[in-house]
Amino acid sequence: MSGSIAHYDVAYIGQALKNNELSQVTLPASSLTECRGEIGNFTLSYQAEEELDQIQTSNIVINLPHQEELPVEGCLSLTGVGEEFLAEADGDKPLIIIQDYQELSAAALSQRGLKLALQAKSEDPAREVYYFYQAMRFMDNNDELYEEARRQEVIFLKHDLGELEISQDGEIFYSREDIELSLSGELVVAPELKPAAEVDRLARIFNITRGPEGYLQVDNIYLQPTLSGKRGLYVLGGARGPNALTYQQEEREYTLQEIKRNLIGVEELDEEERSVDDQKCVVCYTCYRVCPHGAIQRDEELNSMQIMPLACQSCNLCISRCPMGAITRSGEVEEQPQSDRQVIICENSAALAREKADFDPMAGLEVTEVPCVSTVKKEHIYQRLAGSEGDLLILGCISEACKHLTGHDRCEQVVSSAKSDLEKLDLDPERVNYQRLSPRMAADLSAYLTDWKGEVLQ
Amino acid sequence: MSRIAVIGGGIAGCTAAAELAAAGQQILLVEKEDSLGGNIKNYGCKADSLCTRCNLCLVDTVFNEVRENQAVEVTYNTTVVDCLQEKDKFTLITSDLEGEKEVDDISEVVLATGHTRWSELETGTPEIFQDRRIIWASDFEDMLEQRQDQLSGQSLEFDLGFAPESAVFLQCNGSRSLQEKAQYCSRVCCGYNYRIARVLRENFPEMELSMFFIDMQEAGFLVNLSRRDLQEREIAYYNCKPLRLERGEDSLTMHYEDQKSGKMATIETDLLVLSEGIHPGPEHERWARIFNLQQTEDGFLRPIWSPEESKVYLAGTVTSPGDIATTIAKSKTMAYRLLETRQARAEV
Repeated sequence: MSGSIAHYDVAYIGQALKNNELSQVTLPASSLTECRGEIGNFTLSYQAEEELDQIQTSNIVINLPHQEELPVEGCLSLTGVGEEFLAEADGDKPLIIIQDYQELSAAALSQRGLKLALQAKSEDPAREVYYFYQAMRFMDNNDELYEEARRQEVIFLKHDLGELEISQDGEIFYSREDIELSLSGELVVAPELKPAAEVDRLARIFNITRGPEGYLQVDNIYLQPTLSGKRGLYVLGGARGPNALTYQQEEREYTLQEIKRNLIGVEELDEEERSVDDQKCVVCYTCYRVCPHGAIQRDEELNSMQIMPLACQSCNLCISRCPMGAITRSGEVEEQPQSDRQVIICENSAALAREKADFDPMAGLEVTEVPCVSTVKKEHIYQRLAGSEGDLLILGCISEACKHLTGHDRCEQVVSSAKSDLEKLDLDPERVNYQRLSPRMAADLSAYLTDWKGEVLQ
Repeated sequence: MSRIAVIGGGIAGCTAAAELAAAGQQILLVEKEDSLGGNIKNYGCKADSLCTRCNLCLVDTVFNEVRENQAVEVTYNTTVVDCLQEKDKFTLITSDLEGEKEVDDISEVVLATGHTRWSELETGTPEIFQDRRIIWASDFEDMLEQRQDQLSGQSLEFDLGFAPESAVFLQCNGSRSLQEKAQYCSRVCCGYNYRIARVLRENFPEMELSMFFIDMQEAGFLVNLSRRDLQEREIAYYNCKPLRLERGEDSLTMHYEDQKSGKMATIETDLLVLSEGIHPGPEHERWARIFNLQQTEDGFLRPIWSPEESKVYLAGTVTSPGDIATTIAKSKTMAYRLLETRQARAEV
């Protein structure tokens, strides 16, 4: 790479955030073709007019709008109407705002609806404004807007499922208690929010693990509020999730501050070094695919895969998955525990739960603490089972609390594969067990251990 | 080296302290009680068979970081009674069990004294103090915490003195009402009571569960609280606030207006769980006076000058209600801003 490539503090995919201190660039999602590098030094390739161009950036923010789907055909979308719509409106026709037709809308849509109702009233106080909703959602100053709209005589009508119907030609039927209404007018309906366009492509380009519905953030508490699985890559709005707009102000501010802090300096997350032996690596991309943090890329010169030290979050998934055994980490020691009951625990869940318990539930057991249970390979399991007569219990995390995003799944696969191997060899597969728990579940931990001890003793 | 004073050892204060200490600052953390944790201390994990993303897993790590970091000095049983500002430095007058003390050479102040729970205000709902069948949501949290974060299907008789066969959850208690001194929506109650209802459903599948909502709120990120979700879990939904409570010998009777028919109706229950709105902390008036801050109409704190100028940073629920994740995020934001200003000043 030549030194002439421009380097920015932050690159926005989609809409930029307001800020004067950071050097920034904005790229449309559709132009992006490749992302290499890690936090502090990403290289983005994109299609600029005729040719490919590149920039470098320390951080990336994906900020794209949600895609919208209207629950009723042919009406106007609450997010699509602007001021000119009200200015040109026919004051004799009532304005009908429908906030929740089938599903409850997000708080941001309540805000849009309330603002639109208030604007319509200030444009023409005599105009009738109807507001249909199932639940008023609150964020920012929605409560004040709501009060104000009531004072301005916006007609609020709360409905339950099935009480409101919209006919093909946009007529509204509403009935409950003593009210029977059929209305027609200018109909503005809140859309259902879906993940942003291009999220599929972006997930591939950035090589990140995705969450429910295809949003770019995994369902994992440690990523709250706006981090993606990849360090230095933040997701907002339609890239992040269905309710991402509720705390958008706080989240934007947090993201900008986090970026500024990253610029002061980023350190590796642990002291161990992981490296790929370029003589053994066959560039099968297995490690690239399993890494939940997008921390692996291909080194063109060596024709080998390469682990980026700052991006690596030390889950060791790649090590346990590499078919060639080409990835090693420093400080790896082979232990030979001799106790007849052995436990391998994750330092992020079982170890914390153990500390929380009133008395040590693991007293008398041979305990090994690992940074993530995904580091447990089948060989380790066999070694331990062969080294003693006793059983082995592995305690990983529940998925929402897994710091390594998919490490718990990997371990479960390893354990079940080891079990089936044992079965094939006519050995007892019940000698190895796997359980998941959260850092808070001290009582569960004790229960698992008691159950398990009971079984072993039988 | 001058120190940064963090006032309040709850999740907001500890997040800020941990973040600042990790960046090499010296911290004095002032906590009025004898342990860290604040409001969050007695919360319990509200997972049913699945995690419900209450984010409580995040907090233990933060408290441990503060306890273990040598750069943070924690003074317990201590309150700040006054503050003097001279040139670039603050001197705090603190009061502990031994009396008043002056702590000088403080460069910045992070104010993170959190909120008051509606239950702590001892107003409204007098029945709760007489009837064991009416509990606060926080009582339930305490119960979960004491049972080490789970009920394991064991009867509630152990905690409540009786085993309820039905429970009603009452939302917007201590929020959205002039009489209850909080016109705003506290935004967290729908979330925690919904999670408690799920925990009960998981542990006691036979139990009858109902919730009264004014407006059902989003219950946090990726939590699909919706009418359909309640239906699936067989939690009855009432779209109103009950009007009257009658305490019979066998059960509690709630009188409410059925919205569909417009007529009065009743529901009987063994247990009533009240949500609790988030209210401004009791010291807010004092903070406003000694740190030159404003109070909003609702009583929360608002800066007059930007923290970069005043060197007083507000973190957590002192400014507005918020859940665990938002509190942590807001508190980190403040810590970063403080560090950034320091950095900029050092460069000059």
